[in-house]
Amino acid sequence: MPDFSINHKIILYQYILFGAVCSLIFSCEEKKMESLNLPPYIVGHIPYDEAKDNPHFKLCSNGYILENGGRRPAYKGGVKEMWTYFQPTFDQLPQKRGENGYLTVRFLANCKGEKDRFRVLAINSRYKAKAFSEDITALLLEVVKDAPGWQIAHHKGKNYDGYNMVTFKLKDGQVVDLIP
Amino acid sequence: MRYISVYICFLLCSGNFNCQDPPPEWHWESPRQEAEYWFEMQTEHFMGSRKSQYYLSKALEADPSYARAWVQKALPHLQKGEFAKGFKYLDKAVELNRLEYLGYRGCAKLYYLHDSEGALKDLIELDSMTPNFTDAPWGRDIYYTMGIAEKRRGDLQSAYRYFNRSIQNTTKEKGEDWVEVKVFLYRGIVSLEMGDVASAIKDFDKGIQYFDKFMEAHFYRGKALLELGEKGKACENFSKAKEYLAAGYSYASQMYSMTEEVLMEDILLYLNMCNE
Repeated sequence: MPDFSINHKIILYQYILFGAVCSLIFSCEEKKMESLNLPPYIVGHIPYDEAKDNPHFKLCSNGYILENGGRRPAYKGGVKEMWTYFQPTFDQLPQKRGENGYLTVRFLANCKGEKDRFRVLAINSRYKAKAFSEDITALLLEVVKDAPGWQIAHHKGKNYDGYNMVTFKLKDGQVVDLIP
Repeated sequence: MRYISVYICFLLCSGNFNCQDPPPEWHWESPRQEAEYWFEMQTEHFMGSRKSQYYLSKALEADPSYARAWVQKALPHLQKGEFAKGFKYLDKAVELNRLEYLGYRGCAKLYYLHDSEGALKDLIELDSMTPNFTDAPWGRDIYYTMGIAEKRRGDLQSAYRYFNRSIQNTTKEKGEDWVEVKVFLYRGIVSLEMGDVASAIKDFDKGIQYFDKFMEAHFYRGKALLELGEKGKACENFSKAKEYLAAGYSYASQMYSMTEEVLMEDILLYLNMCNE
């Protein structure tokens, strides 16, 4: 049995006290979150989905993910370069009456520049959720996946994991605007 | 030592009570007072974070007619491309307080989705609701935002009129030095696109007069001077634009794309031409 002096005991009690208070604070927060049945993520987070995502894609950090790749524009050369790269794909889009609205592709790029967890979010011209036809969705999703200019999130000289996204404005199945 | 044990017991007990959300319901004088309390709580957390969502839910649970909380709930969704949700919440805010949030929604339509028609519809309605008063959705003169929407729509004459109105109103009410420098920039860009290079340069000069590190104004001044064949002076402006952009002077926003955004690539393209 080690011989504790009074000072050692006080320090030990202080550690116990600190641990108890911390565990209480965190358990309270957990209780609050559970009682509300909220989604367990921040708005815009893309959790791993084994049906869609590459299991080998790894994030560099444990949850510190910058928005817009941490910079604007998130694509090298900006909107002009995006148009240049995307235009041949836009030319392949089928003319389809009524295919109007906005299609957004949002994804994660890790600190090494690897991309995954692509998600498509679409709305009609009245901003209500909508599904565009499969061929339009597939073409736009693929071109975003393949585009070489997505920049790695960067802050104060260091690379980070980051979300990126681009929104296509469509009129009768044709891209009429591109919003980074 | 005995005191420390008592202290620990006290903290553990008070901690358990803290698990309940303070203060208890019977303290509230009205649902709005409770909603405002929870709303204030969420301001201490990162927008869209779990805690922020939690406190906003509490606010709206207490008072679903609290429009301000609906707007706050909408924002992270708009910024992260979840437009269906974002506009659903924003529409709710507009339904509850049209005068307060119509302009806000108009700006969101313009900046997040480049929906000029939708934006103008909201902004024109707001302007008609407040005669003899200049609204400032998103903290900007409404005529400036309407000018941006018209420019994006391609109606340069109308855009020019709105930018002009913004400058004239502010100058008359408070003085020219109160005009936001970006309004001079955009009126200049519109003039340039309409072929009135001299007026464009005057506006860029005004912008630079009030903010000498106005990177965008230097860049467009360079473009205007090129049109007049003054390559040497134009290149001086492009060099300044490069210097200021490298130093971080840019009006580009992290959260939404700005009309006529100037990138380093654009400047370098012109500077390469200067070296030929």
